[in-house]
Amino acid sequence: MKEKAEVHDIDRSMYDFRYSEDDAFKLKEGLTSDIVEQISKEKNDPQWMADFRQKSLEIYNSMDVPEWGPPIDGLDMDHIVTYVRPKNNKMESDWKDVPEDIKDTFEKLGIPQAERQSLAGVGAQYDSELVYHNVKKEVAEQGVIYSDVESALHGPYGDMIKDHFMKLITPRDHKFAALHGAVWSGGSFVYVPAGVHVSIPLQSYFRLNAAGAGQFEHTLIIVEDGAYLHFIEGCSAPKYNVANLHAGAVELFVGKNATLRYSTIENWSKNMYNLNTKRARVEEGGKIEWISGSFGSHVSYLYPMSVLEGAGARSEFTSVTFAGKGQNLDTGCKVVHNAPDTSSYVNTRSISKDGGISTFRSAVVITPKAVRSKSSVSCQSLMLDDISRSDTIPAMDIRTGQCDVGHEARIGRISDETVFYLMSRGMSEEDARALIVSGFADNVGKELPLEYAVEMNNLIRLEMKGAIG
Amino acid sequence: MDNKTIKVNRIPSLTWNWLHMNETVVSDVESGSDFIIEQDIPSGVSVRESEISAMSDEKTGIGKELSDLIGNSVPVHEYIIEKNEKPEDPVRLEFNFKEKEKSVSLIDIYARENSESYVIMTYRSEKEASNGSIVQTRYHIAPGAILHLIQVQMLGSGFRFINDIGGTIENDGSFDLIQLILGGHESYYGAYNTLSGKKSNLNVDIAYDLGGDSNLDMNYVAYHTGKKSVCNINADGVLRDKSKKLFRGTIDFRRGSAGAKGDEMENVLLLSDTIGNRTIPVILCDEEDVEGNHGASIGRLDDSLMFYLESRGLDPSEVNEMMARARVDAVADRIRDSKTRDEIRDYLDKK
Amino acid sequence: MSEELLKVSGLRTSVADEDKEILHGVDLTVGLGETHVIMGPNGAGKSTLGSSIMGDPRYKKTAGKIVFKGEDITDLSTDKIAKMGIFLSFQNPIEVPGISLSNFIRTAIENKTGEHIRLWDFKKELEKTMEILNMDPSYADRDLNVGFSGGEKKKAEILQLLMLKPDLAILDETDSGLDVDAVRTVSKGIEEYKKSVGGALLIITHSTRILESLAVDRTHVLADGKIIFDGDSSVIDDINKNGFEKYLAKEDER
Repeated sequence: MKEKAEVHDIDRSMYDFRYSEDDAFKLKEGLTSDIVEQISKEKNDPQWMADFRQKSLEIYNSMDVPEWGPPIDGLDMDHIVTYVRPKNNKMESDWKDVPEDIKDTFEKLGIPQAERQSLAGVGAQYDSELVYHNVKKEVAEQGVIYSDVESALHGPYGDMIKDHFMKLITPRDHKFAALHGAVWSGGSFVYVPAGVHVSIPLQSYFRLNAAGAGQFEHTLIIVEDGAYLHFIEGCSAPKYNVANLHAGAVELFVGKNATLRYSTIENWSKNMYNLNTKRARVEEGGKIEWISGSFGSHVSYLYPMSVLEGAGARSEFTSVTFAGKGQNLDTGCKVVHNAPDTSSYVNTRSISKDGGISTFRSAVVITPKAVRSKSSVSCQSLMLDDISRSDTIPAMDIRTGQCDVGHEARIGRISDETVFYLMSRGMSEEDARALIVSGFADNVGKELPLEYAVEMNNLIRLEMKGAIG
Repeated sequence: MDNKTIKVNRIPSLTWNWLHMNETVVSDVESGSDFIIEQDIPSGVSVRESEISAMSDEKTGIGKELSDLIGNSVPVHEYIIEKNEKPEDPVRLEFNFKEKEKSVSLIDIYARENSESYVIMTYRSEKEASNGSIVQTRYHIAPGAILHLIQVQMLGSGFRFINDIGGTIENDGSFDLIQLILGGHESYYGAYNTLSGKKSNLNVDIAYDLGGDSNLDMNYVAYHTGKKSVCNINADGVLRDKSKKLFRGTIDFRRGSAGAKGDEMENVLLLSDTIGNRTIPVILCDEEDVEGNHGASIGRLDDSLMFYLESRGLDPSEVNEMMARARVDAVADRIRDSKTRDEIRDYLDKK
Repeated sequence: MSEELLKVSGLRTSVADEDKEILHGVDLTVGLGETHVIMGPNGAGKSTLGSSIMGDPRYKKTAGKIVFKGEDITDLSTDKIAKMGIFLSFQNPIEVPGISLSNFIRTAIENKTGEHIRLWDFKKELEKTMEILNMDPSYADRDLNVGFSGGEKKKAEILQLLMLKPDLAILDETDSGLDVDAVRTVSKGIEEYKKSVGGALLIITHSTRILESLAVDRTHVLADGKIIFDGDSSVIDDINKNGFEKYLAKEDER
């Protein structure tokens, strides 16, 4: 059977290969003012940025770790390397010029192929720095800027970055936002001018190769009035026995009547602490669409937030989280309705298996200003065995009577009847269950471009096979 | 007398602190004197008084800080529904609070094997009374027993009231809780229910109608450890003026509760622009073979429903009033005792 | 023509959220106690016309005027229109949990008349009326429309019509989805309305089964948001036999 063959074709090693990091330049482990100063020097920060980093470090040291989420005791900042520059680091715009083993990594992940076939531009980050960045000529000609944050900081968009950088996610938000402010490195800056419709997606791919290191990329996207962009973010890392840390920040500014679709397939290795922060601010009539698949990491704290600041602004959030063996994934979203006639729609699926823990956590806030707002939240969870765990913790805070808020949550298992039905049509139990789970995750699958949907289904099959085989 | 600040209604699973929903801080809580309850006891039910509750380990919804505050300062009133007894008439416990008196009442209810009983607790005061009273009820439901507990709160507009419940339901036992919260200024309601028995059953129906600047803070937990245990929690209410409400509802399926089912439903009708409605409906699941559902519908009346009713000549405020009343009536109508139903009707008509 | 009850002139209506115009200038006059029929193909705007007269907030009136009993009701709220004596029977009656059919009708009557009615008198009249409609008396205590079958919902609408006694009843596809027996019962209810209340009728339909036992005064053909033909009751038979093509073709020639 073809399906079956496909299951065996996939192997975790597809993501688990690693290369020597001997030639790479690394700062020493830990987090001190000196280390942060060194990062500033390495990156040739303007003074305001160097000051910002030090200030963020102070805030980091003054804040407590959250008491409500999964435990992060295994994460010891004294043993995390915050900055790893790959060897011969230069940002290239031709894959030919990228060092061989790094190029090989991205080849294996299929990035250059995808770029040729279906993307408007690609950025590739290896450990702390971008190694490749390119945008198609016709897209650049429309005035679209797609670069790394560091070069943009020193270029003509420097002031724009200063005006927006960590203004939406401030270092005071939580401890790991402060950490990000102190040691951020790499990431992407995208600027789409008013009225420009970028018809095919841009993609950034983040690869963490060094053991015991952290990745702290900053993504800043500004979509001006009436413009459209689809941005795809991918990430992976080989598995190590020591903890790795990802504390990126994504700040999205969606202008009036603009639309930004932000898709993520997260597949960090299962030693990763993924403490990522994502936030969008949406102006009048604008729309943010979050598409999110969370498959990797040992521990995740991930709640993309939409701040609906303009009248009629909209947010759609569609996600799937798959927690397998050794994983504790705490994911969800936050929406703040802060203007009239705003609407939000949340549709999430979580799957728990082999002792994995998945938690859906959300907050919908409707302020007194947000009259005639609407919000609809639907979350479904699937338990695949009796050693796993699945929690649903949604909160709603409504401060105006003129609104409609609906919420539904469902938790359950795959029905024996459904499995029996599929098996009666000649499918093995394993295949039947994999098919049902893929179908369950289809809310995200059908929103992704085909190749990514295929990748996601492969990840699901991989997880499903993990248990039975 | 003790007079201190306590944390109440802590949710079993914490979330973001900035939401201020994890727990509520109540200041100047006083443990008062024992309250003289006017009671009506049918045959088959024994009444005792003891110094210490035999169920003091039983968790409650409001939580430990309240229990610690009360300590052993007042006696425990025990009501025992004897084995196999099914009294037709309810146990009536009437709390007619006097102006400005602080009081604490500890009630323990034992529903012995295969008994079925109705316990009606009615809380009343002068219209404008401003007391601070605490009622803590613990229950134990033995195998095959059914306990219907009905609590109707019709307190004065300045009242601060803490109503706490905790108990365990054994095999084939059933706890049916009906609560109407129709008055008071600040109300704290909690109920921690352990469904330890196989096929144990919990049914909670709550209705509230809040106006002025009143505030209702709730914490309900269904803790499932028994196989095939079932819970249904429904909270329906109306918010007017500047009233505020926080509903915490947790269904916790522990490992081993195979075949368990839990449903939670909340409907809130918002009748003013200045209300505050907070809701956190939680499902925790440590067991595969369970089914949990939660639904919430919060807002104004549906436009098409409003048009339909207006087309029959009712103006929007009449429609709102009618639908608001219907929510409370639906729960009140579940009360078998006509005397209690009539009293609720009179209270609402006068309100 | 008898005394004027309802006069719709130049009515244009759009969907409130969009700018899509549905009625492109409708003129219609119904006299006291008359029976009018509006026919037309699907999507012509028939239901929109009924809803617009009733002040449905889903539609906005962009031009024209509706006068009822000599008063301009174009911008009046739905409840006031109802109190003035117009009744709209819904194509899909809304389910209203928590309110019993009987309590609802009593409340609506008291609201309309502003007078308290004695429970006993009300119950007697309700029972009698339900009997005319072959309605199981237990429906009186059931929540309004909740869990009613399609037929029972339509009967409950006619029950409200007979109890509220409006001067004009707009019946929107009251016969759709009903079996022969149910249509007969509903027709009987409508006859009873003509007989005991003597009010006017505006019947929106695309079939004709419900009209068989009624004396129709005027027939209007509505297509694409306009009334394209006015005639007497003979039009109904003609459409029944030959369909709408003839009338639609006429429109094209114009």
